[in-house]
Amino acid sequence: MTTLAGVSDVLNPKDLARLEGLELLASRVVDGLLSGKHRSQMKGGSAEFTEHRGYVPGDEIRLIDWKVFGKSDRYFIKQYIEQTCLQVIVVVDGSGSMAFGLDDMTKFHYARSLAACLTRLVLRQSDSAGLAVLGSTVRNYVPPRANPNHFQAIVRMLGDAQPSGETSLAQNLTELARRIKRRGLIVLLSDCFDDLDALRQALHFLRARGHEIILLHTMAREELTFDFGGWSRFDCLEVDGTFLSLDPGLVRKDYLESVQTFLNGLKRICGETGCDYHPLPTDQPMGEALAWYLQRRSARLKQT
Amino acid sequence: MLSRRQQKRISWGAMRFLKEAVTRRRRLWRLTDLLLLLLRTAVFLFFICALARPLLPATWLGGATPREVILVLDQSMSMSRKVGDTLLFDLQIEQANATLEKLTSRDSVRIILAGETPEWLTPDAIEVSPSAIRKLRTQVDGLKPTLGAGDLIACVREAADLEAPKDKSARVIVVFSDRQRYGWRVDERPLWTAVQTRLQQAAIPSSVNVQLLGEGVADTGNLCVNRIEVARPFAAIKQELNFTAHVQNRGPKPSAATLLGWKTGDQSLGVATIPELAPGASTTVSLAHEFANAGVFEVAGRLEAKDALAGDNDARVLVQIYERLPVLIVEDTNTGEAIESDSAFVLAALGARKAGPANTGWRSVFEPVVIEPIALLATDLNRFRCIILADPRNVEPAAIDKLEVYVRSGGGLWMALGSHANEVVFNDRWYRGGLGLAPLKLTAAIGDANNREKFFAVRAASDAHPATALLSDFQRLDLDRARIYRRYQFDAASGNDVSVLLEVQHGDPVVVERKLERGRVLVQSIPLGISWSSLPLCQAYVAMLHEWLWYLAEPALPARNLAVGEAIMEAASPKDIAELTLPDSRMIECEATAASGAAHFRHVATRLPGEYVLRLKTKESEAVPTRFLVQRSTEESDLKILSEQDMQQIRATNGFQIDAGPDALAVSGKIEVPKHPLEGWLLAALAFALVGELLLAGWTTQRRNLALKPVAMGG
Repeated sequence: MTTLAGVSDVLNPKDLARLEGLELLASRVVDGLLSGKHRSQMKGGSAEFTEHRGYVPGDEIRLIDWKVFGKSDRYFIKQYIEQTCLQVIVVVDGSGSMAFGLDDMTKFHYARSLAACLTRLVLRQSDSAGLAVLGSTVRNYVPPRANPNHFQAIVRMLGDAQPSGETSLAQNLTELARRIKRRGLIVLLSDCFDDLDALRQALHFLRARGHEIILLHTMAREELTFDFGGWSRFDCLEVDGTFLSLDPGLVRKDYLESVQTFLNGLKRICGETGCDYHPLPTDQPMGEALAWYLQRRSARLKQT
Repeated sequence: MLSRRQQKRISWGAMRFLKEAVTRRRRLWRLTDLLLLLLRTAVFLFFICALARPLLPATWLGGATPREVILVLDQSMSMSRKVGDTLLFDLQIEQANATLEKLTSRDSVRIILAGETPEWLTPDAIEVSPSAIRKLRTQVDGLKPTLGAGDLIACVREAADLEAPKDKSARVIVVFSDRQRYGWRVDERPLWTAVQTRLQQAAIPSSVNVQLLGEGVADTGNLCVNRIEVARPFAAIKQELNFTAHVQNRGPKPSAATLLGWKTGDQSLGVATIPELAPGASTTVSLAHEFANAGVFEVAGRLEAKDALAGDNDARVLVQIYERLPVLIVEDTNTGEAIESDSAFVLAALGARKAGPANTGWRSVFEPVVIEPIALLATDLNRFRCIILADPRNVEPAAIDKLEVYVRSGGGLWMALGSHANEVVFNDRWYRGGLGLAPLKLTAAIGDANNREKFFAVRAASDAHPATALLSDFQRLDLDRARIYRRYQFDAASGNDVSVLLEVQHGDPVVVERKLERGRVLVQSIPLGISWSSLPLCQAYVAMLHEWLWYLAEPALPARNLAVGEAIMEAASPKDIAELTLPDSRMIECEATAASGAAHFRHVATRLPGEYVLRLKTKESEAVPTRFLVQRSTEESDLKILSEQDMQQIRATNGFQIDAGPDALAVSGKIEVPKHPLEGWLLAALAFALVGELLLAGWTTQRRNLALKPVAMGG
């Protein structure tokens, strides 16, 4: 394993070790310039047969399937799916809400580590990996490269990034989609605290441009339990000066109902838009959770 | 508050969900906070106020002036007249019920019935409530007019005399009247002054509102039987009794001639004619009748004419007929001639039948038993209606004490002094300085029994005394022929309240009487035989003997005809129980009580005229009823109404108001509203506020500590 100086705060060796032997595959066809392990939209000579079609003058003679000719006395051309390299862009939500985390690490640190692990995994399987950190705009963007040295640039950017301010996830995703020319895999690491209708439109937009989307939804344990006691002042992490002073016990029921409604809505949107939704609470060990997801995804893709 | 100051600061990301929850709960929080704030402030305020012990005017709590309302209902006979088809009494009940309905919950009410004497229908003040008013109305609806008078002003005085209730500001006495003048006693100025003074000096402002009824009452005259008189309401079988009915025209116009029917039970005794009578004029009609059987008989006289007041168209009287009345004669055994025995003359006068078997048949109702003085102590004296001491030689002091007890409990004692008497012994044992049985001190005997030439003539001292009324009739009796040859003298100055029954011509008493508690004692200064006088030889002797025995027996005989307020008494065994039915059909239970050695049923509250029936509760057989008649007041028949001058006089009396109409319950005078201490209410409110605060806080805490499952993100 290559030693990565200055990035120990974003990468945990134990997590990396947990991901040894795993790979991130695209479930859909992607565009690529190089031949790789992912299915390309370009049909042609490759190991994986797709279909037959009638011979037309100009086709190469070597592509004729003589076995079929022997049976049917007609000329058919064999067609194959071309496999190409995957372009993965990891999108990290850098909004202020991602800075929350009391007992465990913050959601942003969790997402940052996830992003580092994922990009390293992608680069190690010779695919292109890029990174986008979203703030009020697309704050930082590293275009995808397949070069292993590109990982340092990604890690550096992750190390420098800090969550702050209010952000519109949907708007930033739309903007990001315009920057990405090739269709590929977009891994979104976010708490998704945004307007769900806008988010639906953004995800639709990305999907319409041919991207596959994995939503790794990160939330802190406290956000799911809200088990605070005593009178508390809740300072908003996104908007400075905004706070609520209240007795948490009195709103716990309503808060949990709101969160549940939000989660149900988010899952429904992911289902509707064909996004692969996977929850990642920050109290789960990141390496194990990611490994488990990747294993499950690989298994699912192989079944199909 | 404390926890708010010690609040934690949490940097929070999922603010949008928190805001949603807060927005959803804000209204409830505000309400809860406001309630808690109010309750806690109230707890504090109530506590401070309770410490200050404030007083609040009673009117602030209910709005109306708290009053004690006293209704005076006229239950007199005159209320049984009619206005159209309605009884005046029913009109009164209607108005009384309407007045009761107007009372507020802050009032209390009492009802007093105006009869011959005031009687509280509700002895205690009743705080007004719907159920209490319903109960009162039931009581009021059950009332009926009586045969008695209605002493309205006495009721007002009784009401004004009540101690003022502390929680009321005013007293309103509402008097219902049929305008009859008699019940108001307007001529008795001292009485009115006393009532006015009491109203003025009452602890709370008191006013009297008079509600007049009966305008337009039918004036069809009023001929009434005032009473039926009988000289003595008891007699022997076959003894003639003379009844006299007093009839008077009480109306303003001359009455037409009519008939008066005499009846005893269902048996008609005859009819008498009542002539035309001028207004105010009266007449009497008489009836002589004798009864063939022993028992109690009612004799009634009823007018046939109909008039405005039906209740006084008849009168009744009860007479008791006896078959035998035992009499005890105490005399020393006579060893000489029978003619020397005093008792022989008494027995002869009582009609001893010498030829009768065992000599027990007596023509008289009085059945004598003769004993010696020594046997007095062993004899049950209560068996005898009266006792005759026929010049006994020596009566032991213990026997004299026994005789005194007998007399005090209603017995009659007749002492005849003769040759065996000694004035020193008599004065020492019988007179005892005025404390003994004898009414006067005795002095030495005068005259010579053997000298028939010198004598004292005797006469009845008064014809008004019931014992001598008959004896004073020289046309019928020959008392004037009696001669007294020897007699003891009485010291006339030695006694008070002594009646003289017989006296000699120059006024010296021969027979004197004293009343000792319930009983009577006659002492005569001559013997009952002929040794000192010729009295036993006169016809008047027999009459005198009977008259005086009846007179002496009378206190022990049950009085059947009573005046209002007179006690009903009937001899009984100790601890006997009887049931007394009153004229208004109420029944009360009486227990026999012992007094002066004899047990009696006694009922003193004869407030209502009419018939009272006493039924002894016996285990063995059906109770035998004993009847009593309480005679009505003749004045109630006087239907003269209040004149304008009388009305002015009533109006001029401070506190009185006539025909206030719907304002009958209005309070007049300066009212000092009583103040109620509020600390009790405040402490109760404090407790309520504390409980409310605890419940609300508990509910809030419960909501805060609800066990909720965290949200599952799923996979």
